[in-house]
Formats: sequence, C-alpha cells, structure tokens
Amino acid sequence: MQATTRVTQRAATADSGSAVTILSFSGDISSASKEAILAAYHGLDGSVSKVLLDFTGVEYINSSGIAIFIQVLLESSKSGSRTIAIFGLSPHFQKVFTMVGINKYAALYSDESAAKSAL
Amino acid sequence: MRKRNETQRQKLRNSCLPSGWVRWFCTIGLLALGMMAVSTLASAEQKPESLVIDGLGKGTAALNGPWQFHLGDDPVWASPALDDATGHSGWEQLTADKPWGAQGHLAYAGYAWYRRHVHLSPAFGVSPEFALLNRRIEDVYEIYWNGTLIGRYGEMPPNPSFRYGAGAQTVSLGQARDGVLAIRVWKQPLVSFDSGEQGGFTAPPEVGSPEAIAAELATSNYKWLHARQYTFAEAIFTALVAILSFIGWLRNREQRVLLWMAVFCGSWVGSTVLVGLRLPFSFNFALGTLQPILGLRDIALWFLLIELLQLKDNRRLVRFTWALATLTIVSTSLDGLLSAVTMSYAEQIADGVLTVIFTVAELYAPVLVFLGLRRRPDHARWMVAVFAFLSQMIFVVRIALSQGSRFTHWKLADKIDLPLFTIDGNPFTASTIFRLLLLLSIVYAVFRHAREEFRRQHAVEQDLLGAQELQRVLIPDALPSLPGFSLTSAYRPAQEVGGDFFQIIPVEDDSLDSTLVVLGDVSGKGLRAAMAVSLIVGAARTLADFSSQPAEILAGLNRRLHGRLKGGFVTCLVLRLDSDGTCVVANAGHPTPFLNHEEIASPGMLPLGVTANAIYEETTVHLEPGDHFVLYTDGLLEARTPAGELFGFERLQALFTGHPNAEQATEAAVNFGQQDDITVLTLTRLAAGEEASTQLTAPAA
Repeated sequence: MQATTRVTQRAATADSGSAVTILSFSGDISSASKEAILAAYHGLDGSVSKVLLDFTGVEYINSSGIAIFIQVLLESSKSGSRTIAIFGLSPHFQKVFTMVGINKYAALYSDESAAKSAL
Repeated sequence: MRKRNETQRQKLRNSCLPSGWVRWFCTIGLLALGMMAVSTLASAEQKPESLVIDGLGKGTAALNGPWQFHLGDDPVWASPALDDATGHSGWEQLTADKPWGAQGHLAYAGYAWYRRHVHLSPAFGVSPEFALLNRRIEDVYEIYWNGTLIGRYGEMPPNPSFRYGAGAQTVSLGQARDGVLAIRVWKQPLVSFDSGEQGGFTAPPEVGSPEAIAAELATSNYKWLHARQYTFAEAIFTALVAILSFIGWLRNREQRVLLWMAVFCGSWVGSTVLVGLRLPFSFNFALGTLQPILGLRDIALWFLLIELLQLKDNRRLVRFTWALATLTIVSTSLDGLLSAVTMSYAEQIADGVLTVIFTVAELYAPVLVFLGLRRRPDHARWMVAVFAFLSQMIFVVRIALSQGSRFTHWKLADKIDLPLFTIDGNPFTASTIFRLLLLLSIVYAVFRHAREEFRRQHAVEQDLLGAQELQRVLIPDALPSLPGFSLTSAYRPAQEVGGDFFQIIPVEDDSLDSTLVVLGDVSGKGLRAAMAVSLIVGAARTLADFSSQPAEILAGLNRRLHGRLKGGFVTCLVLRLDSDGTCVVANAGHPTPFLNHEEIASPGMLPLGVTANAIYEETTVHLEPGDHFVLYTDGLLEARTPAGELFGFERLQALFTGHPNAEQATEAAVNFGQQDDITVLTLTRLAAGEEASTQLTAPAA
C-alpha cells in the first residue's frame, strides 16, 4: 500500500487572472514521500506567488506525510511572499488537516475550480 | 543440320576417292585424333579411385583422402552406377578432414552429397560385418550404401531438426565389400556468428568391425568426458552457489545481492546444461533458449555490480539499468525466437541487428565497473570490478569479432578461444580463466557483503527490540483509580515500533481529586519515535508538578520539543478530569475525543514541536453520569483494509455509539486492518455510589 508518491507540476490561471502553479500529488503520502514533495516545492521558481496543492490523486496520508506539508506551509508562511491553498482532499483528510491546524496556513477547497475562483 | 553434314561428308568422300591407300591413311589419322580426344577428355573427367581396405582386423580405418563432392541435391546421386568422375556434371573432390566451407565453398548452406568408392575385406578370423563411425557431419545427413539408405542423423527439411553439439554416430554396413558410400548432407542457414567455414564433414568417418567401432565410440565419448572434467566441476560448484544464494535470499528478501547471485550462477549453469552436456536438445531450441539465458546472466552481473560496488543509491543509474535489462531481455528473446526458425535472408539481417543491440549492451558492465571504482571499493570489490571488466571485455571482443566473420574473415575470435594451457586434457582458455576468477571474486565479495548486511540488520533489530522495550516501559502497566470514573485502556502496537503514548498523572494537593491524562502520538517510527516518547513522558510528568492546566502543559511540552523532532511532530491531548465530572481539554493537532457518539468542539491546532511559541486553547465539557468519553490515537481512525479502505470517522462514530470499552474498540480496528499503533482510553462517568474501576489491556511482554 506504500505506493510511490508522484508529483507533477502544471501552470494554471486563477479566476482573478493571476498565474497559479499547481502541484498535483498521487499515490500514498508518507515519510518516504518527503524527498519528492520537498524537491517539487523547492524547485518552484522564486517568482511563483500562488501555489495550489492538488490531492485529488492521493488515497492516504499518514502522520509523517502530514508533517511534510506542515513543514512546507510553515516555510511559506515565514517567507510571507507566497499563498498556498489546498484542494482535492477527501472529506476524511479535510477533517484531519483541520484537526492539525493546517487550515490556518492554507485554505482548503473541495476542487480545483473552487480553489481557482477563491485565489 | 543433318542435310548440311551429309553434304560435308559427301565432299570429304569426293576429295578422298582418288586412291585407296590415301583413304586408309585418312582413316588411321582420324582414329588417332579420336583417341587423343578421348584421352584428353579422360584427363578432365578423372574417375575416382576406390579406397581399398583389405584385411581389416580389430582396429578401425579412416575413410580419408579424396571424396567425390557435389553441391545441391538429387536422389540419383545415391546410386552406385552414377558417373561421379571429377569434372563430370559438377562433381569435384574434397577431403573429409574439414568442412566444405574451408574448401572453397565458404558460407554455403543447404544440400550437398559426398561419395566414396570403397573396397572392404576383413582379416581372417574377424567378424565379416562392418560398421561406420561418423564423428560429426554438419548438420543433418543420410547414409546410403550402394543406393540403399542404411542410416541417418536428424531430420531433413522441410522440418529440419538436429541436436546441439551431438557426439559421434555409428551405422552398420552389414557385410559390405565393394560399393559406393554416398552421404547426403544438409547444412542449415548460417547464423550471425558463423565464420562460413562450416558444412559437411569435420573429420573423416572410420570403418571397422562393429566391435571395433563400438570401442572407438566409447573411447571417443570417454575422451570427450575426460576433457570436460573441469567444465562439469565448475557447473556443479556454480549450481551449488546458485542454490545456496537462492535459499539465502528466500530467508531474507532484503538481500537482493543474493538473488542476483543466484540468477548469475543459475543462468551460467543453465547455459552449460543447454549446450555443454550433449543433452538431447534440438539445435534451434538450445540456441534459441541460450540467448535470453545469456542476457539474464548479463543483467544479473549488472545488478551484482550495482549492489557490490555501492551504486545502488544512484537512482537514475538503477532506472537506466532496468531499462537496459528490459531491452536486453526483449532483444535476446526475439533473437532466440529467430534461432528457432530456419532463417530467411531478412531474418538473418534481423538476427544481426538484434545481436548488435545486446552485444553493445555487453559494454555496460565495464561502464559500471568504472563508476564503481570511483567509490573507492575495498579489496573484495576491487577484485570483482577487475575480473568483471576483463571477463566482459574478452567476451565482448570475442562476440564482436565473430559477428559477421564470414564477411570480415577476422580470425582473432578463434584465436581467443584457443586454450592457453591444458590440465589433464582439460583446455583452459582466457575466457575460462577470467570467468572462474570473476565467479570466485563475486562469491567472496557477496559473502563479505552478506556478512556486513547481517551485522547491520542485527544491530537494527537490536535497536528495534530496545525501542519496543522502551515503549512498553513508557505505557503504564497498571492504571490508578479515578474517583467517579470507570477507566479502560488498550494499547496495541503495530509490527514496527510506533510513537503512541499515554500517561495518567494524579494531581497532588488537589481538593477535587483531579487527574491529568496525557495521550499522544509521535510521527515516525522506530527508536527515534521511542526516544521522543521518552522525552515527552518525562517532560509531561515534570510539568504536571507545576501546573494542572492542560494548555500550559501542552505549551511547556511544545517548548521542550521544538527543534528536536527533525521535521516530525507530536500530536497530543492533555485533559484534566475532576471528580465532579468537569473535563478540561487542550489539544495539539490530535484527533478530537468523542463524548458518547459526538466529537467535542475542539479547535484545530498545530501539533507539538512545529512552532516555537504556540499557545493552546482549552475546552471544558461536563460529564454526566453514564457519559462515555473516548480518547484515541490515529491508528484507530486510520485502520485500513488490504484494499486501502479507511476505517474513518463514520465507522468510528458508529463504533462509539455502542459505548465499547477500550479493548472492544481496539479489536474492531484490528479486525478491520491495523496499520499503526492503536491506543484507546475510555472514561465513563459513574453515578454517585458506584465504585471506580479500571481495566487495562496491554500487549504481552
């Protein structure tokens, strides 16, 4: 069940017209995913100011996987120059993300269009 | 035409008529001219001499010397009456000591006939019967004695079939005396590495009494066996290494090096069985199966080098190796399939192209050696690298030079195959020697590698055992009584050591008989998680000496943990339970407790250790008699079926509606599919007068 995490990057435009970079994850997310996720996030161009994290293809995230996203969101929060939002989480993981306070650092949306219209 | 000749004859008659003696003179002259012409013709169409073997006793006689030879096929050529004089109708003479490819018919494949006029007579007192021994005739043949088929080897087209590397064959000639021995031969189309100097006889047949021929066959087979003592010994040793390596890998699947070792040795043994033991495999099957087996051997060598030369962490290299391995298996398998058919010209080209692909892939091992040597390997790995390089380079040069040798006429590949020395009749070529050295160096390096891995693994297992032991110590093995409450707890560790913890700490000097409950989960597993738990439990107990406020205790834990978890975190719940039913809860990212079948309202907060100065909020609930309050870790919530289905909040809610005790709740998740440590704590508020109780379910020590 510990499938390899795949991360793909694509460009999109928010409804407001601003450029958005979408990082899409698939597979299970655990401590083994750390390298792939951090490499994708740190590989983003410094000029990217709006990032959407797409969890549509993710089936399971364990506590170590959540820790990775907390690390990413705290980094972004410290830099203050980047807005991150999340979409595509199952209701279960929306609740888990809310429990661990991630929603204080990144807004959670049900799907891509909802996220793009809010950014 | 006839009329014109008549006229010419008439003219000649007229010119000769004047005198009788002139006519006689002309007649004699014409006869002389005729005899000269016949004599000239006889010298062009030389009648083959009969090979006379008289008084043959207990020995055998080689049918050497010139044989009449003709390319092509005609059943009439079996007939003893056929005029097979050299020069007549395409008959020529070849010797039987080497193939027709080496006697002016380079790269010829197809039918051809050999014929020999023989006179035989036995010595006095010896069997009147004769037999024939054919050492090797390429590839399929039929033997005729005076036009009668007396023996054959293999199947002629359209469905040709013959064995790979077959030994000598014998044929009974009966009481043969005078006659013609005719041999019809078919040579299959050449493969890419054939030099073209093949086809037909490789050594002259021998004739003798059936007993003498049987003895000669036995001697020949014995010599063959004797010269292969080393090959058999090497195959047995290699098979033993393959079996032991495979068993070793089955016992410990993490030791991939043993698997590759088994494949490397097994494929070598497989190739020896296919082509080195004269087993009754057809040539096409043997050659067709040999290709992918040799491909597999190459692939195993690459992964052995990657394991032994510590290149495993180079993921790109490993991915490339897998891609090349796939290409090699596909190309060798296709090449093998081509070998199974009688190849057309186009198929021969495809054979050549596929062979080029996997011959180039042979150069990959030296590339890995080069990359591995940059890692400064120890002496055992050095030896593997050096012998892998030498062995593979010799193989590559040999194969590369032999490919298309019938066009290039390069002979170096044959020279590489010449023995450097022999021991008791066993030839040792450069390839044999380097192959043995490579095998021995790999066995030595794998042994060292496996030993290192075993030690490392043993150390890790000891760490894990230590961590498990530590965690058991940190989970209470007895519960204190909580006035006004019935308390149950269950802790079910997963296979790996996780990071669940809980503590029940009575508050000293408290008029309300309060108790602090600390429950949480460290992200990650193993010794590191266990050490974090140890730190948290110690810190929580110390903090509880100075404060009974859950939010303050969480903040204190957070300060102590910040910067020490290396990217991890700890979810934690602290609650103070007063005997009057008041419950104050502070939560740091932990799953929210359930009161009966509803989660209490608790704000989401970051886990401990993530930010330096987190402030936590408290929620107060009042438990009435009969209320069922449940704390749990995410191992319960995120139990998963093998298909990946989560236990989830809805099932949890349904479960808690039935007010299960901690063990019942834990069991439900374990049956669903435990993935992580599960800890459950239930608190049931008792009515006045009911006696407090505790029930603890701990894992067996």
